Amino acid sequence: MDAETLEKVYEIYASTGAKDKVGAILYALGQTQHHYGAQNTRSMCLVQLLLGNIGMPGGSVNALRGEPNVQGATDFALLCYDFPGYLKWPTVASHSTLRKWLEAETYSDGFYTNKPKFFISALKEWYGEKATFENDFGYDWLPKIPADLDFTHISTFQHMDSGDIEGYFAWGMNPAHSTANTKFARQAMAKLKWLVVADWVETETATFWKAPDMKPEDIQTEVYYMPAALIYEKMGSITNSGRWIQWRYKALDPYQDALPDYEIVDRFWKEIVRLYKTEGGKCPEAILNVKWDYDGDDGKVDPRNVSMAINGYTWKDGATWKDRQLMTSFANLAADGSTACAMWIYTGYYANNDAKYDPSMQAVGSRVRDDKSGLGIYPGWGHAWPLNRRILYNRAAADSKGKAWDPERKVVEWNGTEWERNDVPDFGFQAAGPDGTNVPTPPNNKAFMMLWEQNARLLSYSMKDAPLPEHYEPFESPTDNVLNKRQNSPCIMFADHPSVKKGSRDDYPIAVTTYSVVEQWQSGSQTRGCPALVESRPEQFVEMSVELAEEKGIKNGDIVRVWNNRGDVKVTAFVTKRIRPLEVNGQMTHIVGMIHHWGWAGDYSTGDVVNDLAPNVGDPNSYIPEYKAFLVNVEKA
Amino acid sequence: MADYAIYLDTSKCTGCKGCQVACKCWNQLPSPLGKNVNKPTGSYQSPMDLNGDTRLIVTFKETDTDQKWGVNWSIGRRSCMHCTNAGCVAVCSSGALYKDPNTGFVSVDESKCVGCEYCASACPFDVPRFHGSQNKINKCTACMDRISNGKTPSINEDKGETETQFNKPACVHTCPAGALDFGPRSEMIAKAHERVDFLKIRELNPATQASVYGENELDGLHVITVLKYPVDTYGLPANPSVNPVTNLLDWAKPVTGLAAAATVLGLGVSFLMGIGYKRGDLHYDPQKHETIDRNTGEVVWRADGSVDSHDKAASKNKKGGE
Ligand code: SF4
Ligand code: SF4
Ligand code: SF4
Repeated sequence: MDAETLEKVYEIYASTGAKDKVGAILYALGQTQHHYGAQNTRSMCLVQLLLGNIGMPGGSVNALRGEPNVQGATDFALLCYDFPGYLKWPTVASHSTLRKWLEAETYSDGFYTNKPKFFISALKEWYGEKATFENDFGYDWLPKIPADLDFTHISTFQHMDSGDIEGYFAWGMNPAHSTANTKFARQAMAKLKWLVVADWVETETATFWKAPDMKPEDIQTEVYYMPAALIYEKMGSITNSGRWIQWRYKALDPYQDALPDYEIVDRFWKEIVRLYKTEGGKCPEAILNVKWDYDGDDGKVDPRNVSMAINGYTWKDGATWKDRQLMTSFANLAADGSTACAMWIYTGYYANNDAKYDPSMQAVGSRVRDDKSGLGIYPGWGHAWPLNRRILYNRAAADSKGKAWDPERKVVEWNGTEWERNDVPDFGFQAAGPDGTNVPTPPNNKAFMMLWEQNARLLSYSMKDAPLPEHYEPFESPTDNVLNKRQNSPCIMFADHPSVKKGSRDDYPIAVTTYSVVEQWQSGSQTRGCPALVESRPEQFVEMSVELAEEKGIKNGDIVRVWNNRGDVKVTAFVTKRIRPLEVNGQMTHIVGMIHHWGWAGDYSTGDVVNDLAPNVGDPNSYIPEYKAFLVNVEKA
Repeated sequence: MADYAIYLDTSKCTGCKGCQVACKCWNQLPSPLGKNVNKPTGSYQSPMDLNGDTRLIVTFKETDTDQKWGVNWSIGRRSCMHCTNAGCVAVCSSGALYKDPNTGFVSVDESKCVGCEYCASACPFDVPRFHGSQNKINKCTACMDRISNGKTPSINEDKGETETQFNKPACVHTCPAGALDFGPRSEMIAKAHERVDFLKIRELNPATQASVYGENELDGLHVITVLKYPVDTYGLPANPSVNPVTNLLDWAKPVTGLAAAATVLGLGVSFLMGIGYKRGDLHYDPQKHETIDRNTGEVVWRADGSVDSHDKAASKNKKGGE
């Protein structure tokens, strides 16, 4: 972008740094899928902090998730270093005992002084009566992450390739289509002894051995396909990017012998336990001491029992779900084994003891559309974790004296004796006085209670690469970094792995970015199975400028070949003025854009796997691959 | 009973094609079922035109600007406009096409259609499409089956209160962007003017070209559209008109059904020529992404924009989308 336009963007956005204005940043994978993606997110946080756009209605840094799985990945710890509720999964290096975990993870001040209550209540839910003060609530039975091996997404396939991983569960994900440098991932999967795929349809992963570039006769992998129920075919809750949780009901029965994934997990677990009991196995206490009492009256796992476990309740030996007392706030959790709670952040979302089996009577099932504040808070529409707080850091919506920055946007305000509140306060607004009753806490400078210092961080010491964001070029870039002498982040992950096969600017002078279209969704497994959607977006395309098309003799609608050292795909060319060559450091540089929803699986529409082209390098904080900027070449096919 | 209208605000439309797909699903209009049989269109638009199984498509057209960045991206709706002065109804020989007295929409009773295709020739927007295997005309019915089936309480987002409304057409019901709406025609017109005024005062993008389409065209359309960019960039005729010859048919109206068809056919060639009757004269070739005039063999439209004489090649007063 030229300096003049950029200045104009800055000027307009910076004008939101006024008391009566708010600016929101909405972002998606365009910001994060870089090997410095987490620092991009930090930059947005810094901008919002400096402009006073944090904690305000209509402000903040808002992630637009591609799908609820992504919120689940962090809330429910689908990522390998996390424990549910934004706690750390124990590692060999730092957390060999419960005491070490508590010492390392508990903050000296702020809300995270409560971490022991959250963690031990979670252990109590894992191990129930077996979790006692004497045995550190079963902490030793939790597997610890080894120091020298990393099991993040990109490295998983490197471990498969080297033979360290022999079996793999692909659960509701389609890495044979979606992983960066997919071709390498597919070849690595061919070295697996077994593969289990749980999905709605036979995805590229379920049929990885049928990929056009694979030789089925050379592949020994045993593949098991578990047909899973669609979201409409089971009940449960869903959480959006705004942390709003909503109950969804089952609309129809699963197709043929498909099962809800919680039922598949339940069957697996019960069988594992049976085998341990009859045949024995390694670390039996870690398996046999697990409390697994989620069955409903029909002998199948009941998601409402699971919801109660997530919500938390008072522990009583021998009690069942019908007589356990659900709790409304994680403030009541204790670190002594007297409470159980699988994930503290959701506490209160399923806490109505009078209607345990009627989700519509729970906070998560509420569909009240009132908004008395007029600020778009809608406190009765579902439940927002934590504690139905709709705007995080809302103390920052008022000044140091507690006066709302903008009287039109009054989220919280100190009226001299107490806090007036249009949202659940995200700060200590009251505390128990000597007689046990709550006394209002007058305004102080502790606006960010989740940090021990309780102030926002301009310099961060929790980022692995740097305390402040710095500019780096993508791993494969058409230009040199002119802002500093370092081309890529020194902390880039996996760049040296031989599978990455970095391409040079001479061979691949064209920058590419990848994105999605609305008609197709993610790897297309579901949407390419809908004829009307296929008709509305039948093919994969690469969008390019009129200038590049002219240079390469390509006409709109031509089939073109896009390739680099990792992959080689054929897609349709869209020649458009929406894309123009960029002048980068004085050099005319071409950029193209590609969508990626196709693969060989499916009955109605198939195509090449565009993610074959993306480099499998990652960010040191999030390990996210760099799908959003790399190099290719293009020619008429 | 007041007239009703479908409302579209193209400045809010994201081009998601939810309406296009919802129309197919609700009306049980099939899509091709073979593997990779939908041919590439070289455009965000797909399919490129209406057909016997497609009553609504979302259209995409890019116009260059003198700005350093970007284009004007006219994203529109191509479907029946539900004209007050409806050429299709005037020529319909069987009474299959009819004006709904309660709403003013022009709907279809397929059971009466004799497949004469007069309507296709008489429509200034080139909308009705012939469904060969069924020998029937297919066009938007305004979802008469939905809107005539009672009223349901629904929540008015703006007022935050529950009110009783006609059931909405499937396309309107599905729109996630709030670009489509449905209601009394006068309200939709007022809403459209309010929106155009808003677009005109916006500082960042002075959309001085914004206009309301459908208020007076053909004595008033029952699709009221807020156009963000100039009319022609949406493939819409600026001044649609009905060929005067079509009204000659009015005297035959009391005679219905096949008898009418026979009467009309008895009128002879002069009438058919008068309305520019060309049975299936334009043909879209999905392999080559182009539309050919069957009479002359001439390419009248090509997806890459190199040919665009769609309007001229169709009958003089006939205008289509992309
Ligand atoms: S747009 Fe064409 S088909 Fe629709 S009412 Fe008008 S004349 Fe008839
Ligand atoms: S009103 Fe009904 S038939 Fe007409 S375009 Fe909309 S969904 Fe299709
Ligand atoms: S559903 Fe609405 S937003 Fe989507 S294409 Fe149709 S009118 Fe536009």
